[in-house]
Amino acid sequence: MKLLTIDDSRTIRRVISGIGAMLGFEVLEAENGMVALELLEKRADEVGLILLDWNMPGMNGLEVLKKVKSHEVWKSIPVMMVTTEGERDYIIQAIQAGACHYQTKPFSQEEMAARIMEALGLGGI
Amino acid sequence: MAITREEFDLIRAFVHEHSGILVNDGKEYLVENRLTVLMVQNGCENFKQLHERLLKDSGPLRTKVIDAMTTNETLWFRDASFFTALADFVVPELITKAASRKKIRIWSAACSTGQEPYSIAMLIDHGSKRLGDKAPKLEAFSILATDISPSALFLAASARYSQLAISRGMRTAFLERYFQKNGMVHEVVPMIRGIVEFKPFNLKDDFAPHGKFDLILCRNVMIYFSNELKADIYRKLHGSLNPGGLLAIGASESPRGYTTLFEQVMVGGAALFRPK
Amino acid sequence: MSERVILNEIQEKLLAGLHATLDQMMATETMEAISLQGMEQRSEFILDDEVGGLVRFYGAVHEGMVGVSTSRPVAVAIVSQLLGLPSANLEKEDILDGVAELVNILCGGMKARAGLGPVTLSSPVAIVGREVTAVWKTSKPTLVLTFQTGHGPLRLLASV
Repeated sequence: MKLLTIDDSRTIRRVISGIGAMLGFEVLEAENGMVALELLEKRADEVGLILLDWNMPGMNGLEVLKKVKSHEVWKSIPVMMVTTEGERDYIIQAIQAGACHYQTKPFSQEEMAARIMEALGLGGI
Repeated sequence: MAITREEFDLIRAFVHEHSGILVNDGKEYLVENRLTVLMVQNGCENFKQLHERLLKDSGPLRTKVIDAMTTNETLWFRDASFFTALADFVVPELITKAASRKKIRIWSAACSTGQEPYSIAMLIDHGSKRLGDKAPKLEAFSILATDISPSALFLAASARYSQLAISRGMRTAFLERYFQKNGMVHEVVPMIRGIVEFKPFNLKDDFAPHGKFDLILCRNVMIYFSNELKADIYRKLHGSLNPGGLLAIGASESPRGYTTLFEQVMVGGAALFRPK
Repeated sequence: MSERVILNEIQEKLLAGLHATLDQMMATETMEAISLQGMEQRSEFILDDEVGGLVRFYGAVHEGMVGVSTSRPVAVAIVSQLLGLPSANLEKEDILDGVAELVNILCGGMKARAGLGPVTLSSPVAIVGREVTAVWKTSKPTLVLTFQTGHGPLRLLASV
């Protein structure tokens, strides 16, 4: 099982890849929504969790989330939002659209690792 | 819409009651930021409703809230002067004791993601090497490592650290000797992991089942507790130390007001405490 | 900096939010010790150090810009810690991307903390190079916070 990080910042993609590796997961990367959807077309069966930014050029994270959650196959993949947007309204929108978690930036890697495990149903919580 | 004063007070009273942790003024954003997801997921419209749910919940939700409010990060060899004092004075003394066939017990009482107990295990192995044939076996030491956060403990027990985590204070010589590199991940070697045992534990609870220790580290956690809980914890720590044992707390913390329990011992440049 | 800067309520909130976000970033991601040295007000929004970053935000009520301006060593130190990579391994693209993410997080944290309401963030802009002076024409004055880091000063700019 792999993680998929969708973020236009390669800094964040690399940080998440490092955390994924720490937890024993390979991390696939997409720099925007379009690339991510193309990647899912081919490799959705490998993806166990999507980590999704909100503000990205082109399609924003909420649109990507809605596309994933309305897809017959992809909708079962848990999606965690990972974003600088921290207001309650954003969180409510994301959870209502089907996100399983919402992590704001900045995050410590322990925080992120804990949220990933929780999203995957690991970690004994 | 943001957390109201009343809601903030309700939530922090709850967190304090169940974890002992004080959430100070000015941390409204932290509560909002970390708990809004749980609020929404549990069908609550505001933190008042979440608080009501928490009062009825005896398990999973409470654990999640406490976990969300207590995930912190730690560094290797956090506080250089303290670890120098450990390496130069405290650990050699423990090694000498262990060499005379005594089992040495150490407790890392707020171990977070494991950096502290593994750091100590590495110092012990490193220090023992200097004695050559006379060195005690590493198994003569046991380190109990506890924390309130299940997710921190999960990470700690996995003993896997990213480059980012390693970059925070790990010495190159130790990195080469005590870690196996596996792709982007550094994994603590089994020998070091073998003497560290992880358990969930709330410092509010009874310490007696853990037994007595020669060294207890309870660092950088007291600041989160109220004065009443601090007093209780210092009393329990006192009762958990073997005669001549040592207590280490954070550099910015001090058991002032507990002079009947502990005397301060300056070791290298660091202050440690011995039970009276 | 001797001149006293009078802030209105929203500026107070934004600056407090910006400062708190920077503290949080430094504590959770970079471990770089920082301290606030001073604040001044300028008529223009200028990025004139070796490394700069900028995000605009706009909503129904409030709009403005948040920027960061600093030397290359400070930027390298922050990005290096952000990524957990030795600074020698960082390429120009890493610094550009890291600084862009830094201003993005600062602006996002600031608006959430200040409770600005519905506000949209622009994509971040980053500049790395010598001898660059970038000026934005703004109707509002720019507040400049200067922080001291282990590697030199870091300036945060906010125009609201």
